[in-house]
Amino acid sequence: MKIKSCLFGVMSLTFCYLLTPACFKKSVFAATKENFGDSITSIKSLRKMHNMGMAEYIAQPIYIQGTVVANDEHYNIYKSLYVQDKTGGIVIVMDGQSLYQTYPIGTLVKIKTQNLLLTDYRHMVQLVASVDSTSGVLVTSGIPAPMFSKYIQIVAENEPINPLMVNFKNLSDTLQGRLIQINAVEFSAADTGQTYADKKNKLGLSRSLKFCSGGTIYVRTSGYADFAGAKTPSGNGIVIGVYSVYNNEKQLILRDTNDILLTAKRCTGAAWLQNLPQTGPKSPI
Amino acid sequence: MQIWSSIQCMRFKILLLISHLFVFQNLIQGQVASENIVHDEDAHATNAVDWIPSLLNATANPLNNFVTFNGRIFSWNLRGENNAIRIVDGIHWHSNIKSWNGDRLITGINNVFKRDEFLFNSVYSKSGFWSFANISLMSSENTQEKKSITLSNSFSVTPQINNLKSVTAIYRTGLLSNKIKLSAAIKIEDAPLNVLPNGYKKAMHIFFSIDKKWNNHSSLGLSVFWNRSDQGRVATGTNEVILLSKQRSYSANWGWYQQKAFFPSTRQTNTPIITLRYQKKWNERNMLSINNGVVFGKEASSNLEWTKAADPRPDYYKYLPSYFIDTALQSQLRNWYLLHPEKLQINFDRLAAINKSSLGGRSFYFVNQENSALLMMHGSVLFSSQLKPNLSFQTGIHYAWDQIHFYNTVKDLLGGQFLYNYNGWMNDDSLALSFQQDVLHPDKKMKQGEKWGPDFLIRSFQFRPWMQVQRLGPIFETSIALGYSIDGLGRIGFNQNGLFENSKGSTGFNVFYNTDAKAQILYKLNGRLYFKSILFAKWMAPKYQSVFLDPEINIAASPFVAQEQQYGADFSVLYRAPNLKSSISCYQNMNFNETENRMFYHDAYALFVYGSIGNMHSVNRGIEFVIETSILQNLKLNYAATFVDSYYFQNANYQFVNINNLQLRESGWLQIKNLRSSNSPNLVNAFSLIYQPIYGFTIGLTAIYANERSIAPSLFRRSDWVKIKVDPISWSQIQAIEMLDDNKVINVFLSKFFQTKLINTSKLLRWSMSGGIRNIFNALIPVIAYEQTRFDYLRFNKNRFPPKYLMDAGASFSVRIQLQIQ
Repeated sequence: MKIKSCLFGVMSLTFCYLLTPACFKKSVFAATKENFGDSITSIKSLRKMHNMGMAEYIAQPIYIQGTVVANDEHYNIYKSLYVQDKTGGIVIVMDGQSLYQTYPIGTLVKIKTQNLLLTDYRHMVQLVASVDSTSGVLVTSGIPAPMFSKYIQIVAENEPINPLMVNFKNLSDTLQGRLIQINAVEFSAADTGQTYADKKNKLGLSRSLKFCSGGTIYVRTSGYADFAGAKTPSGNGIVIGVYSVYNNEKQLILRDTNDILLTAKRCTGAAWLQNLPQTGPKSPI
Repeated sequence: MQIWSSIQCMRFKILLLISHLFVFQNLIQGQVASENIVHDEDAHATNAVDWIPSLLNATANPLNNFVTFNGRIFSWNLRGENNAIRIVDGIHWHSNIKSWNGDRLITGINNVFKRDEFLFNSVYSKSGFWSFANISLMSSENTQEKKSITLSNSFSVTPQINNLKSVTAIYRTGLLSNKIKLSAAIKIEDAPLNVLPNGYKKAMHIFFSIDKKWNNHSSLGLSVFWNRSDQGRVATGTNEVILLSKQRSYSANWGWYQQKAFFPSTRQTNTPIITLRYQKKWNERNMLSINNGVVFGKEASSNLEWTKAADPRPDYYKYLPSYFIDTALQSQLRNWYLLHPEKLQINFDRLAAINKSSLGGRSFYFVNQENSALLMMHGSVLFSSQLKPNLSFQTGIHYAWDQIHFYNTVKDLLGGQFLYNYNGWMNDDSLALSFQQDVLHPDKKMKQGEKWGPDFLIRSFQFRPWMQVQRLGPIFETSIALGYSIDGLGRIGFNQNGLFENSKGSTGFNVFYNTDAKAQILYKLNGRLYFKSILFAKWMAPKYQSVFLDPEINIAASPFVAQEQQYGADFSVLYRAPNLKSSISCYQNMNFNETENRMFYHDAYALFVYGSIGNMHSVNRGIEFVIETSILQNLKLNYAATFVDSYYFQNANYQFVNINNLQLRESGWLQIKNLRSSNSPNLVNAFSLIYQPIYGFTIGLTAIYANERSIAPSLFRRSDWVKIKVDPISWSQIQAIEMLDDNKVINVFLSKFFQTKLINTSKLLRWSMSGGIRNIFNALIPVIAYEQTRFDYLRFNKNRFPPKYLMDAGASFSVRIQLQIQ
């Protein structure tokens, strides 16, 4: 009897020890990839679906593919990406920060637009996740951060980007969201040597950029941009940026100050007035 | 995999059956009990095994047993005192530095101790310590006269959530010929990796003691406790994320990394403790004891941190459906989470990819380890004298010298190459408000394993002489005591950060002088009926967090730093009969000058602020009722009920200062008058039935019902500033403290004790086995519930930063088998 008790005890102890990883279902979540379609619609075609001042819900499985040409790396762009293909560009409004870490410039992305909406902000066409007008004002929401992978698929990285060279006459809404290069421009005398924005009070500002051939485009900079406190150069030359509009105002969004190549002699009062040939530095891209 | 899982399940079921058939008893009080329940959420997730009763654990007071071992699930605290105090070898291991508490280190192997005394609702203690709640006086001295070996094996499981096994071995020599006794013990705990949600636990506790006696009057003892542990940590979550995840024990702390579960939130301990005990008894009347102890080693905790990058926490409020106004989008996101539950855990591969692709390999996401290097010396001297047969006198000194060196190390760069030694506060737009952590070595690139960030040391001391007199009479027993203490607190900074020049250097000691007094009278009406009354007054040093608002980066104090005061009175009626014990107590404690400090992001100012509250005055009053009786010869009933009314009786002051320059942003009154000051339930009813059909076999059931329990409020939002900005209805909703549902929990256990002899020897084998089920009906009970300090100061939407919860894991099964060979 005593031996039996001992044996039972020893067996129980051993059994007890062996039991330990019992009865557990390991929570393994297999990450599933969203199914992105093969057929691609051009950004130009997508943009055509939009009527200014309206919001169009995209019910069809429409896919666009384009390259990220501007993001929030330098805080001049907030919660959005600018994507372009050969036909046009568009703003993708995304409810997330530090997008540049996932979608650096040059990333080729495929975007599933189904269930998204086309809207415009002051005539700038954008792709958003929702609209709400209950407050009397159209409030849009970007794609929620957890759903980025639902709507955006990274296809390739480090895609080359060539800005589209345009002159003032060619600036039109079809260029919205595209990376453009303008030549022979300089900041107006009043905006030369000024900060790009009010860094101290975090207020955005527009600085007028004059074409030597005539015309003005505004360089719009956020007060949060890390170069907001930098001074606008006084020279003449090339500026690269994303074309944007604010109602009827033509704007250029800089990605960083490397987009500004104004080192040549100013044309104001000289070449411009005398209608002499324009020269400037070569584009780095 | 599924087959293996089924086999394991089958094993478990078979064992449960066995345990039900053969579970035995070593329980004296019949209470499901444990000394080893540590009072934090991590312990809650891992220590389910330790609620199983043992001889040591149960105390003489059923109310205390209910509260300590069954009531924590409801935050059931007695008299506003959250923590029970353990005095081990005459030393308490509590420090004013960050409220450090060494009880869990000392009692890592809880069954090597014997309990000397248990105090509850009493002012007289032979140690000189006192408390209204409870004090356990424990000793590590080997008191066994015979050699023995004890082997113990236990495990607990909460299906799909928790799994912990432990093995303990204790060897005691008994009294050797040279009047020396030796003890040695080891306990190993293991919860395997990937057991969710806390991840894992590995711990080893080692104990050794030697005691020498001479002349039957004097003794000298040395004990060593050594704890090494490494465990994951759980996390609280909002109701929304708990529902989304469909997991009551959801934790946002972990994620997937290289196709394995990865737990960056961990805690490590490596702390040897040595105590030296000396006792001299001149005679039965006069005794001196001197106890000294030292703790050294390191404690550490790690967490995922980030700088200049998107918030990686999957339960960040901006990632949850409730953040979005559009209901269609809410629904879309909710469905997305249901289809992709992995989105509710951290994707470390993505974080590593970001780190790897950054310029130069700068880590934006990394695992930081906060280290606390300990050096603490605590001690006590006690002289006790029986002046007359009915008059005893005791005096003594408690003293403590504590030093904790706080510093960070880079634990894991998550695929990156370096980390800039910057402070990385992020505001809500992920814009970094960074500054140099060490301006003398700016822009330093820190590698994995290197020290970075704040580097400072806090020192504190306490010197507390005390005396007490007790007079025992035939009708009255009286005792009176006085104490006086000198407390000091100082900081030394080892690096100068970019914000505060004074962050480097020594502050010297802030010194506080405090006193306390207590008196007790017991009136014996007859042999069965007693009346007891207690009065006390305490003046206490300000808390650490008031003396140093944020010692990581500056030496500023709270503007409300002041001596805290406590006054109290208690009146009890006690009834003692052979088959019935009962008591009822009414009490009232008044607390003055309590303070609170928090650092948080203030949405209205769009910056981090230090929030300080001062001049909080509260009252805790209530009634406690206990009854112990035997319904039948072998059926015992314990019942206890508490009614608590705790509230602030005045409004309090508050202020917010900008963390970058300590400039005042806002100050005023908090409208907290008449608000609850405790989140313990207002009314709790508890009973236990203990049935002992045969000697050594016990079946027990404990049920507790808690009513009127509130979540722990954050008081800052209840300010005049908010009141004038919202309409009266919104204000009343903001000011009111949210109540939790009334809840009940039922725990059951079986235990069996028997002994046999080894054949042909005189050796005794003592077997004790026990098994139990905690929260048998799987009730969904928030163990922890609190309002977030962050509040929507822009739109005053109460639901933007909703309360957070840690839910009880649910029904958990425990089995323990112990064999002692003597």
